[in-house]
Amino acid sequence: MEFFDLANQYEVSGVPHTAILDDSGNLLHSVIGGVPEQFMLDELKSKIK
Amino acid sequence: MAEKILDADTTSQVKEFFDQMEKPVEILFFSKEGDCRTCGDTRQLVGEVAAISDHISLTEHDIDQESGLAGEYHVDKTPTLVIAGKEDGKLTDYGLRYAGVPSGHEFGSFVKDILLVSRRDSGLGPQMREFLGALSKPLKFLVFFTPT
Repeated sequence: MEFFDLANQYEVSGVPHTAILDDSGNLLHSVIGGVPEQFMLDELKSKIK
Repeated sequence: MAEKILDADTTSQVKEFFDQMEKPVEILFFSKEGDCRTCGDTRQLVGEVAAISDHISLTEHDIDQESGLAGEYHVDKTPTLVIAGKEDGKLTDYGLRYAGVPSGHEFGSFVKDILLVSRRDSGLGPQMREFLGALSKPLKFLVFFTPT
């Protein structure tokens, strides 16, 4: 696996896996799977303040 | 001469796609001499892709020897590809990065991203643009995928 440590850091066990970080690199939220834009928008609105 | 990664059919399909490109794009390939397992495959693949369209230029940079440039583009691992817009010799960074070989299912995304950058438009809908435009702090998206 390429970038095993990076995947491990964000607890990636399946792909695609989108990790959303703040500007300090802290994990704010994860979205698993290839999702439609509206789903991603709803996730962002509910999790990102 | 190494065998080509892209077969004739794939090259033809990508060329058809790239015929829709509007403005120049530069791909910055960050590599590392000696200690980079997939830099060779990435170099060959991105070289074949760049050769398909006159709208694409490709430059290679050693992450250690050009650490200033790597820092400017927030590149800390190899291989990394930066897809940037190019206008009158000046590059515009849209924040797009590919770490590792953009092959397999991700190849389609890579090609599509090149096209998006050439159009200088993300293709996102108005609601997403409004939400992202209202953010008060930067967000970073890491998308993990497999190269097969």
